Amino acid sequence: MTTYTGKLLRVNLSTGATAVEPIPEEVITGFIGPRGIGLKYLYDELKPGIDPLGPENKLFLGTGVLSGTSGQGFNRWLVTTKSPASGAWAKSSCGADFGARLKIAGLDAIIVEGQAEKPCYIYIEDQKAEILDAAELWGLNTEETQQRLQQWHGPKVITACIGPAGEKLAKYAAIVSHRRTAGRCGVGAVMGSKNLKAVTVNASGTAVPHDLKAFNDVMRELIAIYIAHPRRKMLAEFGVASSVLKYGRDMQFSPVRNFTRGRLDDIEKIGAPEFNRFKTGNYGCYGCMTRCGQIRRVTEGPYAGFQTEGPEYETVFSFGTVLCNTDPASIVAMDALCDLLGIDTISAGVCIAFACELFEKGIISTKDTDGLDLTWGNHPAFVQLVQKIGKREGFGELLGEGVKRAAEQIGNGAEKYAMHVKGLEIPGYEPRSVKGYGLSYAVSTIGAQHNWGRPFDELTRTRDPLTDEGHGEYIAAVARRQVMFDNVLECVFGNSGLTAEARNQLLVAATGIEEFGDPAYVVDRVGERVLCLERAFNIREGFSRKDDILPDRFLTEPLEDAGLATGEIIRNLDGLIDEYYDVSGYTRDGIPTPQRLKELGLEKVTTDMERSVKGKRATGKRRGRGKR
Amino acid sequence: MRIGIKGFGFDPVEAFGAKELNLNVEPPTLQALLQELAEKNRERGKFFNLQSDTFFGEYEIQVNNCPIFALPQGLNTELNDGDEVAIIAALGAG
Repeated sequence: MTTYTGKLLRVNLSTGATAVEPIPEEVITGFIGPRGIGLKYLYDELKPGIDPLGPENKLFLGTGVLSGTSGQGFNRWLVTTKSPASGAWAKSSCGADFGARLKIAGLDAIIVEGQAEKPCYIYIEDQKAEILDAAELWGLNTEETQQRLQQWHGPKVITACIGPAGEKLAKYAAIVSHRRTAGRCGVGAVMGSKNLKAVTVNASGTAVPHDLKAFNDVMRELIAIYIAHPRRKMLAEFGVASSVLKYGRDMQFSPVRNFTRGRLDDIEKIGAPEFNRFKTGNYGCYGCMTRCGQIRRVTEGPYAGFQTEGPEYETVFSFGTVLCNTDPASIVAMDALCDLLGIDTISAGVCIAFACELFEKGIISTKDTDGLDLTWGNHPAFVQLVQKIGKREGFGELLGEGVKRAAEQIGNGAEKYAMHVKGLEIPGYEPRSVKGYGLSYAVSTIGAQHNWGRPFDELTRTRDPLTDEGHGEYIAAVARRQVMFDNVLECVFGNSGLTAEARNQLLVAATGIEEFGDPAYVVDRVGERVLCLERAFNIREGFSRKDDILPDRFLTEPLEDAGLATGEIIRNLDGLIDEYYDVSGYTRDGIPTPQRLKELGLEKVTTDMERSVKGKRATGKRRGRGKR
Repeated sequence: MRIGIKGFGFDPVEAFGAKELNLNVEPPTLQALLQELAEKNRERGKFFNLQSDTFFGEYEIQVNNCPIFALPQGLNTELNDGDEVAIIAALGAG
């Protein structure tokens, strides 16, 4: 018995074929969890240069090592695919119950391939899958979709679905389960391109660890630690938005006014206590006792009736600080709309901030924005624009392409104001204030993302976040640690007080795999292997060092009014990238060396790298960025 | 008055020499406590800027389980004998 089922459901929407197949043991041991296992499958199965929104792309939905067990805070799930936002590798994780139910249904993962002729959904029960007609679901929002599927299949089924934004291929469409989202990289658009509205799972029970007694012994000790931990209590009372005043006011790390400054007047109005005026209850993912989700409902004013399970820190940044918006009810409204329409709050807010700056500079006007006055802080217009993005109407159609493509279409110097890396909008940490984040955003295999390589110690200033040197080795280390988080699918909020030793004890007790008792294997060895293969995936797609960049703003424009970081720019990005490449075993062009690939057991990738470099020299072009 | 100090992510005995601090200043505010702790260990006490008396916010600070951002008086909150102040290594947010 082990928490791995060793089974993968493959669904081909073009042929209608469904089959459960074994996951090879060496893939499980060598890649551990969905970020690694999904990568291994899709690296082997996706041809370079395919259209991310074409039938050749595949969608991998995977569960964590401890999903479905009584382990607290290990029940997230993760999506991997080729991103329509960037054309690069994609990974996006989500909370709620879907991952646990998938595991309990007897599956470690699902691969969806092909493209259905008409809208459909996948219904899973006891490892059996059916492809069913979704004509009645198409066009519904995510809440309506989940409710309808419960009416059809019973109240206990759990669904992951897309909203109208995914159906209409918005490049940052999300996959939603309950009110939690796999938001980043446009994974919902890939689902929409396959005419797949939802995946619904009917399963109950629990996953049983290999050594149940040992697992429960460790868990019992951990639960005592979690109960006493003050962060758990804080998260339960205020949620992840409890970081807004710390990062936004006290440390001035939160980007303001489209990443031009660090201080926002009246930021206290969007601190966690203000949001708690709307609180009606808590929400927790499968088996989690922290229950950091804050159910908040606006009961009066222009946004009365909007209810959300948030907003979390990133959403307060994306609809608050970066837009100079200090109206908390409007942020609740936009958060709710994003969940219902199925769009990523980070990308949506940064797209609107981009539009606000263009509006301010006179590059666009009300003639371009369907009459919306995109003055900083004008939240009624922002709420309307979120709806337009989600429904892909008017100006929202353009912004739904993401800032990179929108800037290319608008022209007139708009690119200067598009805050993205590799086509993925930048999240809520100002890279000139936390320079390790600057490097992390630049070298990330998925584009700018807060949980690709999170420099925890720079956020606490245990490491100097403003130095222009020495971030490379540290970012490589935290990126490896994030691979572990994404493989174990450990929630950093639900596990306050968890030690590395306890985590490894849980992994061994759950799986019986002795290597998992060694952090050097679970974090470093597998982390390096996964990061290296993700980079190889991107190089095969035509990416190179020139894509490991940041917007010029961070390199040339001194940051305004940002406390200790006032006047800062990133002076030495090339040097930091060299540091990162050197410790990672990449050439100065960012390509994994044959020696490094061999050390990591990825010898077969060497040929791909040689072929990619030769092909790039011959054509100088990047492949397959999404046509629609 | 004696104030209990709880450290999360580090040992308060190692950092500040004790799990309790005898705070004998007027007014006995959270700011005064953080200042004393910062003076005891300037490396660990980075949460407080001694030059400007400014709380940086790198750490999460709680008084009797209430986070600093939710205290109406913030740094000027007056402490009472037996209060417990928790200093928690900060975490990124999602």
